[in-house]
Amino acid sequence: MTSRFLSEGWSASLKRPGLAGLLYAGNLVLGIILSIPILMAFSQAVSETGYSPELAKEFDIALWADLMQESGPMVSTMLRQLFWIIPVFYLWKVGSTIGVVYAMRGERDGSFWAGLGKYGGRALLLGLPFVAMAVVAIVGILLLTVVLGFALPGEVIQFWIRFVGAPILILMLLAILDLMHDFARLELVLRERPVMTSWWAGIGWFFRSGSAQAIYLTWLIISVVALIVPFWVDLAMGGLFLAFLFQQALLYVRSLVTVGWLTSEVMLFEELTVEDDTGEPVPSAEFAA
Amino acid sequence: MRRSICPRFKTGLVLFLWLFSSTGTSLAQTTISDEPLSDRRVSYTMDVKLDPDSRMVTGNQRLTWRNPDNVPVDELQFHLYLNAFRNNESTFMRESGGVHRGNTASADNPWGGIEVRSMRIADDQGDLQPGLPSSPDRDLTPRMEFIQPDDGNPDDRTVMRVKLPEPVAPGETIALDIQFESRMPEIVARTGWKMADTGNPLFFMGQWFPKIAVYEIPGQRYVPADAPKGEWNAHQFHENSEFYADFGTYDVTMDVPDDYVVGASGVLESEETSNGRKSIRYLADDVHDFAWTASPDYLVFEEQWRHVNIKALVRPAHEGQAQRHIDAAIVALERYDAWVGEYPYTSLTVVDAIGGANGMEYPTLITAGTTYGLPEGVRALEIVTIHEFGHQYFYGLLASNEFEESWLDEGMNSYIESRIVDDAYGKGGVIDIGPLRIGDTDFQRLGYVTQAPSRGALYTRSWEYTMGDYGKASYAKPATVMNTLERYWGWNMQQRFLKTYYDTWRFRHPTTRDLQDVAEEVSGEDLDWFFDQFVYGTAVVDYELSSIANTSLEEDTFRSRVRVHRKYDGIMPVDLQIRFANDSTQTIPWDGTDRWKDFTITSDERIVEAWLDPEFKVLLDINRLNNRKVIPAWADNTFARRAQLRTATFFQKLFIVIGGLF
Repeated sequence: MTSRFLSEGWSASLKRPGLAGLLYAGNLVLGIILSIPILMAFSQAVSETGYSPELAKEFDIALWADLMQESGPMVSTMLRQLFWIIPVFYLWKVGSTIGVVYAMRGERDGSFWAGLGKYGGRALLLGLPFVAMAVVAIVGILLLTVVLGFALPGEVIQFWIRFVGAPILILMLLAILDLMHDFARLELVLRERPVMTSWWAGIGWFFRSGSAQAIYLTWLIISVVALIVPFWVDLAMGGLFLAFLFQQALLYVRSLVTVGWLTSEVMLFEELTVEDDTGEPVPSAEFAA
Repeated sequence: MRRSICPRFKTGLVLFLWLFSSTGTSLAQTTISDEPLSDRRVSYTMDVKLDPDSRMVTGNQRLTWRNPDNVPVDELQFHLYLNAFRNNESTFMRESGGVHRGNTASADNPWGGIEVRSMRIADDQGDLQPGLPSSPDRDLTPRMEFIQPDDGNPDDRTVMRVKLPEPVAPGETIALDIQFESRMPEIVARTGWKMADTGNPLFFMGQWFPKIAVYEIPGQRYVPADAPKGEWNAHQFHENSEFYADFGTYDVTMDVPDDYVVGASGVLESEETSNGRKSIRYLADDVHDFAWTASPDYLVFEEQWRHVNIKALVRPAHEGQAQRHIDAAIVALERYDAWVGEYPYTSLTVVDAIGGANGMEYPTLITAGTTYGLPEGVRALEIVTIHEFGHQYFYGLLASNEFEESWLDEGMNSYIESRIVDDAYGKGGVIDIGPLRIGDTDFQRLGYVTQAPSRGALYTRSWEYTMGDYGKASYAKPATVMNTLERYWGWNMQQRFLKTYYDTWRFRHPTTRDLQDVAEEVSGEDLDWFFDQFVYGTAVVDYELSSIANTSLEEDTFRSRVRVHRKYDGIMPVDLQIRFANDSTQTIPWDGTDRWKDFTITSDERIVEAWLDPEFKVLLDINRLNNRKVIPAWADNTFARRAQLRTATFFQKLFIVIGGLF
């Protein structure tokens, strides 16, 4: 069953390339806005020095240090931009996800913008408790790490706790919360449930549906691979324009993965819930069991 | 049938063995020479016992000191540096605030200290004390008095003076019997104890015994040659400095629990075990200090390199990195041997200690330290090992006064460390992870140019540095100064300089002036201009290629002007390389003295690029980026554009990652 949802989700994603294009374009625009100070500062500091070819070719700590001394304000400008870009990104991420869910429900031909307009506000509210849960989870794990530091002294065990155990635990918990969040959105959009009801129901999906876990985990692995490849391209090819184009293509594929991922979850949700006599969707017998 | 030994023969054998073992000469070969390498003004014979529970080292010491002056000396001065950790009022604690390089004490009672229980002029008239004063008043204990020559802090007890009942005659030797108790502090700065994560204690004994200070005779170091008499040079224990002592011999017997593994300066002479205790005797010759460490945890790894027995004492968590310690030591031994001079000792022990005890040097015994899981591309372990080994030359064999001229030790050592690391490990000597490759020479330069380069002369007493300038001025800046000197006159000359410096001054406590004299002698050049700027002064070098202008005179002829600017007070000769439109180049040497300088060239090609110091010889130049300029038509935006594209894609990927949170 899982593989069917995966393949159909991917097929549906390919049929709506514009949705992936929207997700991709949103990230690209934010990335370019953030990088403009770099272009300005480095262009001013380097272009007439004659060092440009050498710096473009390989890392030279001496020149980079001088460059950073000279372009220090650039870094702070870039960081200052994050203060408004991260909230904007949050709005965009929440809105775009709900838009995709709405667009891929039913016949998979809905309007992204209609979904964004209709559910965007409630989706924002729905995201807040999950953000809070994520913060609590991270702080809790860090506190646990501190406690284990006292309870299990020893450099080797501490290495594994701090640098392996805690990060893995944090990633696992964030993934679980993300799964819950995804299905809470589906409750919000597909079953028109109130925000807090959707939140609670979303949490329940993780505990009640093995299929939901399997679909999420499979797409998570695919998406990690799809993200690692562009990093590898960057390391292997540096800042060549060709590398940029190649990465953009891969990042677009990564956006297709996101759409396919959400669509698979929509399909699973639709299959495991049925409408009752009043038209209200309820969990199917299989799901309820 | 058992054979019995004739009683007379047995007595004779015991007497022979006793005589042989009490001659004071080393049974074990501690150096490559059968003759003394130093003038051995002092000798220490110590018998000490470690009580792990009370963290005390108690012992007896027979100290001999020879008066090197031409006049009688009527007082002795001693270092009691363990008293730096006696309470919050010591000069060390006041200067450091109890924090040393990030290490702080955590135990309920972290304090330590040293008490001299008694000090007597030795009773016997053996070979140890010819010319002993004949006064019946042999007990010096009531005459002990703490002094504070550096800062007058009355609560500092790290230097002690003893007025003698009768002076020690010129060339004669006094022998003292000293009983002392050293309470080891919790390790913050190098010395003391710490509980390891195994639950076992680790002891590192540095600055742990009463040590006589250096009496400088007229003509030695900065004592005027025509001075009527010499003077004691004893400084209090400071946050940033702790070494200056005379060369001699050490014969130390340490009594520890029998499950403890011991490492020490010098060479193991004997080891005996009885009643749950272990007695270990170490000999060290032609050294000026003695340190040791003991813990049940240490694992021992050994390897022979030529005449040197290399021993690594490694804690269990770091067993997998034992070979890295040894390999790094060999990397250093090989290059010091080739570039500076032969390592004369037959042993080298590299200790993987704990926290504040790591990264330190003692004669033939160094501490490195590492962490579990340290990637091979991060060479912190190798760099520290190479650095601490280098101290065997500058702190150990040359033995400059680290209090007064720390750069001669730390700085010269940092310079050669950077050279060794870059030579042995290539461009990624410090960090070699993927595209991130940082060499040690660059690393040292960054430590200078990025930290207020106009502050902190190398020639400064270590406790007089302010605003954190000690680290920069004692390590990074001198390394950069010496790297610049090397590039100024070439590696061959630099090597001659290093070898001559070592050959001339080993075991003789050279000064900055002595080092400059050697540099001038080997090069035949007056180097005041260099030393005055960068050793005694704080000159800052920054040359800027200000502008390029091409004027067309007539067909196919251009008059070009290159304007350069010396932005600060530092002066170094540099080359100006000019590139013409047809890609030919011309190099013009410049003495670098003028504030502004125009170079005018008439040629059939216009100049498209001008570059000051194209080979980057002047590492002291604090901004290399402004050394080079191209004409606007040749401006190249490749780097900025690529940097922007990489940054944009980086943030795209980052957003995907953090999007998982929403």
